[in-house]
Amino acid sequence: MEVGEHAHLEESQWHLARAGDGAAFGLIFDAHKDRVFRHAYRILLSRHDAEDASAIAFLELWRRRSTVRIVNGSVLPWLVVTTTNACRNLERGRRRYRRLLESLPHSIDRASAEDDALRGLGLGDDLVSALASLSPTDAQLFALVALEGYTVADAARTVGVTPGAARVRMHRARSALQSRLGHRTLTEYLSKEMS
Amino acid sequence: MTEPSMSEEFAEALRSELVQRANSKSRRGRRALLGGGFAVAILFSGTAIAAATGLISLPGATTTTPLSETKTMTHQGTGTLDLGQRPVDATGVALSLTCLTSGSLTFDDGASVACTLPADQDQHTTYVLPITSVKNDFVTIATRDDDMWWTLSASWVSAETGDWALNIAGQTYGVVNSKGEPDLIAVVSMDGRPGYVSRTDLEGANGTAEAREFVSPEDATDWQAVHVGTVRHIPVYESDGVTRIGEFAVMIG
Repeated sequence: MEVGEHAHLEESQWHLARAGDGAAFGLIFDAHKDRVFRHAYRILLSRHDAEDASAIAFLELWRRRSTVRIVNGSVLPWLVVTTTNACRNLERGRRRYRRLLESLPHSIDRASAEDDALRGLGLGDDLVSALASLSPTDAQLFALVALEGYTVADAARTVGVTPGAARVRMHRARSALQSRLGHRTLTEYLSKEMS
Repeated sequence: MTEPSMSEEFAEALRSELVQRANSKSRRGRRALLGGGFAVAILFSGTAIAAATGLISLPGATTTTPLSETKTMTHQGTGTLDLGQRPVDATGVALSLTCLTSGSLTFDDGASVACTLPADQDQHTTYVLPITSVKNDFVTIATRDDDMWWTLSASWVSAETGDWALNIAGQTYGVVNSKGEPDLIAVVSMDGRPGYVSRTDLEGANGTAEAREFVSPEDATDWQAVHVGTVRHIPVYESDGVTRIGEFAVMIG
């Protein structure tokens, strides 16, 4: 199947899901759960927290279905933005969905050696606090472009600003984060999907 | 670095919650269906019959009780869904079929759904497949459009069919069911209003009336060559069979 057909398929599934087709919503979850989790995990570096942030993003996808912005036929950019927000405000999201989140069977955190090394550098906490220091729009743009590899144009469309404004914001966000995070390893880590 | 992934148990539980949330919206929405309009035409094999689907409160409608969990598949081209073991009291299989791209799909009993317009692709077609048409424990959705995508949800059900109603002129009205066709058949008009078409009008439009005049298989083949794919329009009435409220399009399949 061509990429365009994938996009068409997902748009169809999204319309069905919004109309109350649980099976279609399940397929959208299947398609994006790994990417959403990975994004949350990179920011939070905890499986337990990343599972909660991912769950909050998908629950928000349903709750705010009438206003979700589709970019290139996909809800994924919207999910990435919402996951970034969920990571920045994890406790607030947890309060909204507390009963449900507590009922889900979470993973036990077992980090790999490399995760441990990154954790030792404080990436999770630093990145969360660094993202929290940015305005919501800047943090969303940064997450889409630097962490998830979207083009500035697509990211701009997702958060609702012009591509020119997005570039200015990206430059500002990158400078702020670099001065805050500093460490070369972290800079490389954050930039690895930029090339 | 090896990227970690969401645990399977967590993903499964979250998925189930999300599916349930979306489905519960569907149940709430269905009550508004009669007012809101619903436009899917099913063309049945043999005596092409148009039926309104999803309008469960109409006379002659079949009420179903689910007997098994719902199985779902999304597939391209012809595909078969395993329903799991058949309960002893099952009388049919409730199907909810959605076209994701355009084309025609055929059920095991020969009933078919044509999704030719973009608007068709957002509509569910619900249908109860009679138990006598279910082969072993499988439902097959056949299509000649190998690149067509569709989603099917199905479960074993026990179904009970209600009686048609009678209008003041003595005509039966309601939905097409296992007992046959009422005089006035429930449909939704092209502009989304629920109403009825006359069985006679429908038979005239869909070729059933002409087919009675055929004297050889060649007559049928010749007729099909001319008419397949054409669309005819017939009036939609209130249940009195007199008050005209819209039009219904019949496609010759």
